[in-house]
Amino acid sequence: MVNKIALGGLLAMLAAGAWLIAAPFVVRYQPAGAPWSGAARMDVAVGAILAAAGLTGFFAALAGRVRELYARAPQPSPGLSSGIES
Amino acid sequence: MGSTGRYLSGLCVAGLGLCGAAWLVLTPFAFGYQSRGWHTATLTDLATGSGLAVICVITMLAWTCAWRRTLRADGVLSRPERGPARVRRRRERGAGGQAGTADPEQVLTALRALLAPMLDAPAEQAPAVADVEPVLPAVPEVAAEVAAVVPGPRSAPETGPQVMPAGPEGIAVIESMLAGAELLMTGCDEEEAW
Repeated sequence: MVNKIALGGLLAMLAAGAWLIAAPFVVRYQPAGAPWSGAARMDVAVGAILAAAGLTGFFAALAGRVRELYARAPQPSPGLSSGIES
Repeated sequence: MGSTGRYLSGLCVAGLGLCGAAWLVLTPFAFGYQSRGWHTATLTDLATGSGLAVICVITMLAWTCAWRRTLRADGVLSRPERGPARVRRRRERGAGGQAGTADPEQVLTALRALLAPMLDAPAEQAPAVADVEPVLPAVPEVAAEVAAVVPGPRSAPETGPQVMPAGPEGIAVIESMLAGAELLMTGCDEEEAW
């Protein structure tokens, strides 16, 4: 349960970053075709950083979880073939 | 990168998000685009920043709890004792007292094991009491305590350990001791009657 909340938090960060990138155009404080205002530039930059960090963190945590599952799984005996022939 | 890296990456990303949230909340005032009244950009940044801060705090707490749980499951962290200090001290004292005193059942078993070869074996093959290995470590301690409390006879020669004769002779000695004890008790009763 705690692990799911933690992973969900990282996904929420990714969503917040995506929202910050889209906000200037959704809320219309950055009209299309007009030169970029300082607020819109700053929101897009912060949103991109947050989205990248959230995505990286989510996949890093997921990779660690998968590695833990592999480490805890029973190891196959060396005499058995894996079923993949080279 | 093991499981530590996983938890560390989660905590670092959550911390970065917290910093971003603080930046979003402070930026409208720092850059001055809030000066012309509450701009929609200001409202958006404030709302997004505060929501992001809450999410990041919850995420950090979740990663911390998950990491502590894993460390506890691996035996790195010990579970702290709960309850008041007085109860804990009493519990520790009880455990120490149990470790310090010998169990009477164990002492009796050890005594039986010591005396069995003396009564069963013939007189010439009976081992001396001093040569018998103690079965439990508690027996010598009990013997030392008894020797400290009960002084030995003053007239006894200190030539070495006395060996009780085994077999029928030993039983005769024990019977004579019991008869002496009965005589003593009878004498005490008579003195009380006088």
